[in-house]
Amino acid sequence: MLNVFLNERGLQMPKGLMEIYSSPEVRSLEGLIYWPNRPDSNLNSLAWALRQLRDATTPPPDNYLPLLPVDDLSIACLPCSPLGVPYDDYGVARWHLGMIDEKFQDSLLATDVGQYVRSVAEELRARTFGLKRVGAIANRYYADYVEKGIRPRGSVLRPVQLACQNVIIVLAALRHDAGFDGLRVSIYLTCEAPHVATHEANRAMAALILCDAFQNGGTMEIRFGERGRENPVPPALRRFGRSIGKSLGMEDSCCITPLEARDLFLAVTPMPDELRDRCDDLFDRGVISPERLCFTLMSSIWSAIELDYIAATSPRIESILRGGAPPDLRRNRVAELETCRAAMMLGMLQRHIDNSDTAAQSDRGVRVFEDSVASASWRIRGDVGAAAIAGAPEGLVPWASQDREAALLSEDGYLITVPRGLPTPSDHQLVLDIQSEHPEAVVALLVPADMVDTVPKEIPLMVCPDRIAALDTDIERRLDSLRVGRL
Amino acid sequence: MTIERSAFVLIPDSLAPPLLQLESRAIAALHRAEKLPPGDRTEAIRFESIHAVIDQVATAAMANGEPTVFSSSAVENNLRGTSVLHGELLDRRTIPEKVADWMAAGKVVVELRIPHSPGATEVGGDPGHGPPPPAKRWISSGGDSAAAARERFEFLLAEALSNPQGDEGTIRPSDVSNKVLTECLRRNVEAHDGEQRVDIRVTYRDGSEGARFPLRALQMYNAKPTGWRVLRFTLMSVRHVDMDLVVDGAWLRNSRVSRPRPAGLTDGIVFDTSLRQLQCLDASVPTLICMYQTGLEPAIVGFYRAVVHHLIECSARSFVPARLLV
Repeated sequence: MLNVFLNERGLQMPKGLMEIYSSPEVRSLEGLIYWPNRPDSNLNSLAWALRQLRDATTPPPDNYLPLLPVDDLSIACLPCSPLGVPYDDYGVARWHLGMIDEKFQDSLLATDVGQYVRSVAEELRARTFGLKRVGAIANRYYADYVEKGIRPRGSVLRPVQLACQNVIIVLAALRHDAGFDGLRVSIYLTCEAPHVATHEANRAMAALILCDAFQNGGTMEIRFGERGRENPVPPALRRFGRSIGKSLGMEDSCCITPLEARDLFLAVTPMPDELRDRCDDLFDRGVISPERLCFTLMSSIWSAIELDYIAATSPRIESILRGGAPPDLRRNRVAELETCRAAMMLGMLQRHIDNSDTAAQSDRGVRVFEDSVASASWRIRGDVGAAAIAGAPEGLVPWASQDREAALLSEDGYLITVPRGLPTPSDHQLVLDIQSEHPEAVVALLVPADMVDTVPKEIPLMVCPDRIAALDTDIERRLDSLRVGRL
Repeated sequence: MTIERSAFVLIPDSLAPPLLQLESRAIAALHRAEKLPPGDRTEAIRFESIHAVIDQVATAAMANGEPTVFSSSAVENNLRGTSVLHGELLDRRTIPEKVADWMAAGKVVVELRIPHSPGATEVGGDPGHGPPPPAKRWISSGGDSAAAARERFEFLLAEALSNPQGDEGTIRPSDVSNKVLTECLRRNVEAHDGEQRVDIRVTYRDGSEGARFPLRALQMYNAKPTGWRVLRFTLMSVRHVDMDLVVDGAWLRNSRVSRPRPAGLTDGIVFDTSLRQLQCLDASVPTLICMYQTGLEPAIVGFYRAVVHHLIECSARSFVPARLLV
């Protein structure tokens, strides 16, 4: 069957594939592998899998050879090189059978087919024991801490469960271990789910582990298994690492070293390219450590757009990330507050756009909120303290001031906003200047609710629902988190 | 990156009295803030909310066309207090000439530090300096968690003593048991022949730092003095009320010490309080203090730092053995 598949399509035999079919590792995957020599009616035959792919909402390219299922609605496929061209190793791709956004289709599962099969076998072997163990840990934790309402110290073994739309995708148990002054991850179980992006469970768990390691202090070294019975870095995590170009467990197979942890932390923290460039510059200048910056973003003290704005516009970022200037140095404090107010209003605007209830205005009948999050992209102009935002819904500009003529956003139009807590006449002029530079965009000043009257009627205006006092309260809460949290 | 500039806004005479009232309320809040324990921001937040109204009034005045002078002064301006300018000017060089003239005429001016003027400002830091290197790996020689924690603390202590000025030269007392903390510090505070005093950095898990801890600084004696006055204290009040029957008092007030604030600040409060209290005790007779500790690391470090400083400064009339509450 395999030769028929390859010959019919004019494809080369993928390197190492025959060895995989005959390797001892796949014995534990006997019931999963799509065997080429099984009858069509068999649910793990190659022919059956090819039928599944053919009947998929979007069928894969002809050169995709199904290998084994990833979950109920996606298959790990091996893209094969055509005959007559130099052999190329495409790695292992995940093909979804159901309807899915194009950007999530055909994502990279693993860089090497042999490593993929071995790691899946290894992962599934450990799952039964891991599930039992994590259950026992969770029961003990519930009795000792949850029921008694006690907050555990970092050194207590804590169960972790991450779920997405009621599907559990991560189960783990972790604690700070004084034996090496780092984080010990006793159990690490992840899985792929049809509605979750490839490797997202591993990315989320890696981020959680790294944040916990950072918050507990120590060296940021992460070891797996129990003391005296250590396990190698979990295969799913290694596979995820390889898919993003990070090798884990290279120095010591049972641990992620502090250097590897730093690289991984930066890789799993979502940052737009421009923010990443700005952060790299801050690291280069020694203004902030990568761990501190990633933790600030991952713990949502500042969101990506807020941090991007602060990094792009303020030389006071170091002070802000340390909790801000003392209040009695009012001049410095005002400068920091103004930057933070502008960043916060931008963050609120982005969330407002992302969560716009467009269903309310549609005529499609049932309003579905789930999965309706848009993703507005942005670009900060650091030299003028403005932000260009694309992806806002067509129509009325969000938060448009009701007492002046409202601008309308076209389908492919974008918005340039100039956020200011205390708008000055030069900011009014700046809005007009930017508008003449970008006639295709909608340009508006963004101010707190209680500063509307200070802006002349001819200046396009967006009004943040919060007043300055509310903004300042939230800023104080965030700066306080930065002062008393581990940074 | 935008440029910071100061906007000096002339406040119209009609608005000056209410604005000065706001200023006096802001100053009062600032004075009250100084009396609060470090880290208590209740009055600081009140000061900020009052001053935010002053800033809003100034912004509105600027928008109404009131005269405003912009000045590109240096980013760092460590003038303390409010940014309302009026009355007699102490140093004319710190503000633009026109603003000085307004003040001389009895006017009220508000300075706003606006960070959004167009232009490019230098980012801080040193290009090419790079981030701090990742921590070095370390593994204990075995034993349980408590033994490993002791070994780790001793390792960091030894490393800090060997390189007190380097980045690695710091101890981290967070999550170290009070027994380990006390015994390790006690052992290393003693100066053996020819050893120079070393002040090491103290960094807590939240990233805050306490004052440096003096080690290799004292001559120590193991013999328990006889005939001295004995005072028994719990380190903190209302932590172990069972102890109330056997102690003479609590050294620190729990409600003042156990507050959410950077651990380094708590360390500083305990140090200041302890030093003051030790000096009071010292004025009377030689005293043996039996301290029954509880496990708040900044409190322990702050207390023993005060003891060491006190003993360095005075003759050894006070003697503190490590007594533990188990």
